[in-house]
Amino acid sequence: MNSRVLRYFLWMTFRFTLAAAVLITIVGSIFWGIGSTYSLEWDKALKFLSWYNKGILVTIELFIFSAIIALSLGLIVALLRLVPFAPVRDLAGLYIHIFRNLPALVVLLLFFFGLGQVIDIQSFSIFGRNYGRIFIWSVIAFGVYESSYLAEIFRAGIQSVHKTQIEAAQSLGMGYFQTMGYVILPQAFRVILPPMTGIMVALVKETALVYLVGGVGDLTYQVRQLAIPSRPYVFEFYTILAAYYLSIVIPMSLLSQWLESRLGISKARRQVVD
Amino acid sequence: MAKTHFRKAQEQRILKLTLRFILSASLITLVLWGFYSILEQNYIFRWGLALQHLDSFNKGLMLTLQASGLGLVLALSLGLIVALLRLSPFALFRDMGTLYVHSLRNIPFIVFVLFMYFGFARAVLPRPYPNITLLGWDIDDRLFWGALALGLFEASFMSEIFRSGIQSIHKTQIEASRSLGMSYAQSMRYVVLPQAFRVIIPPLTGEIIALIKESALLLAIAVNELTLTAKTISGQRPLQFEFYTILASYYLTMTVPISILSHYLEQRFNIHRRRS
Repeated sequence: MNSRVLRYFLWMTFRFTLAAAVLITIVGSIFWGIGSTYSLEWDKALKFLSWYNKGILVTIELFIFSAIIALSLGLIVALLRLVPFAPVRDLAGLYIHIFRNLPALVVLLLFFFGLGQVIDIQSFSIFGRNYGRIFIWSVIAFGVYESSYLAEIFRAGIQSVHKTQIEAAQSLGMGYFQTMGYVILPQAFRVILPPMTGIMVALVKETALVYLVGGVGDLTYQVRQLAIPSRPYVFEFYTILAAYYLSIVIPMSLLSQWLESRLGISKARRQVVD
Repeated sequence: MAKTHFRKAQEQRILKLTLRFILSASLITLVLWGFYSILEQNYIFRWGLALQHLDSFNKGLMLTLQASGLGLVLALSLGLIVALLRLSPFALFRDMGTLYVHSLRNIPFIVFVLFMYFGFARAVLPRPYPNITLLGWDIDDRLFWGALALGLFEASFMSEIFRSGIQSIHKTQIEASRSLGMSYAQSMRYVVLPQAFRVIIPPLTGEIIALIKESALLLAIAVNELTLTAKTISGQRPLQFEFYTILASYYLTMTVPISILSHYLEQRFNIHRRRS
């Protein structure tokens, strides 16, 4: 690493440490100034890190499964949104608008307590791992919820590809799926990718809601189990919880930002050429 | 001649739209009805019984509106402050704004609510907890912390929207107004913000919808809003499907009008489209 990069890195670290210190001092002096008797005991709270490490794995599992459902459903709905027959488009539009305008928690409750009563799924095994009812329904609920956002992103991406591309592909004798698979989607991907990572970030954050319908041992659930009166380090526990989420989400946000600037540049260049 | 042609085209358009509406409505009804009748084979719907509880839903709605209203006011004002901090010439202020925004944007709201209420208000603050009164309105302690969490959290999203709006105004605008002798506050108030408003409106309405949706999570700290109401009464009677469907329709009646308004404003204020 050359010294300029290193110096820049050190300088930024210094700046942000200073800013964090000032921010914490301001907030702390406002709140602790009220006259709290709470004492911070980080060493005792940090003994429970293994609980968090167990939880983060379940959170990632939840995320991966719901992402698969969201991506596939989102693509299907986006393609339905672009069908030439208007009523089908409107049906897809209704789906999108309903799920976009509902809180994720309400969708989860509707699926778990509503549909879960009617459709009886007890467990599901894949890759030698067994998943229970709560896990399955929350994955479906988050998948459906986020698919409504993804569908809009996919649609915008597909529409951003110029119409002549479809015409050219079809005049070469390609069918609908060939046109989509080989011509449209690879080009649309560039437009889709940055907002898609944004939705993935939102999905990770949504998985925290599972504890409200019973919990499957994800991060937030673990902390709810930890924070009982005999372990009065609640402030520390929730701060560590936030830090754990930040450690998954910030890299994803940075990736999203990087992709946006990276793909944005090449898009701008293309427009200049046009 | 031209007029009749125009009228003919318009008539055709109306006819087409009507046809589309009828076809779409029947297809949607068909699909929903098919879905419903499949469900009905395994579950007895008792809508009449469920609808008797509308009073408690309305009470819940009031609390949801109070929490979102308080949260919105706080989010807008704090969001603007943070946005101005992030645009300040002092690196320290900028960094403080950046830290605030990024640390809140990247955690789930539920975690923030739990942190604010259980991690902070219940644990750290000294007892007894004071009653909060605002302009003669007695705010329940849970509602207060819920709304505060909502406001602080959404402020991080709002500030990004404000910042991008302000940055979308060309720098020469500020320079021109400053050279006319306006102060920083004046040039913001009279020159930059009115122009930025146009850019801000569509994402802002989206964020207001997000705020209303997020208020559902206040059930984690037992604020008796819509979602918690539905959860409580579905514990008393086993009509969960009906109750949660009613719950969903309550949220949709709040959020769908805003999203339609947002769509309308977006078209109304779309500068690029009007120029072309």
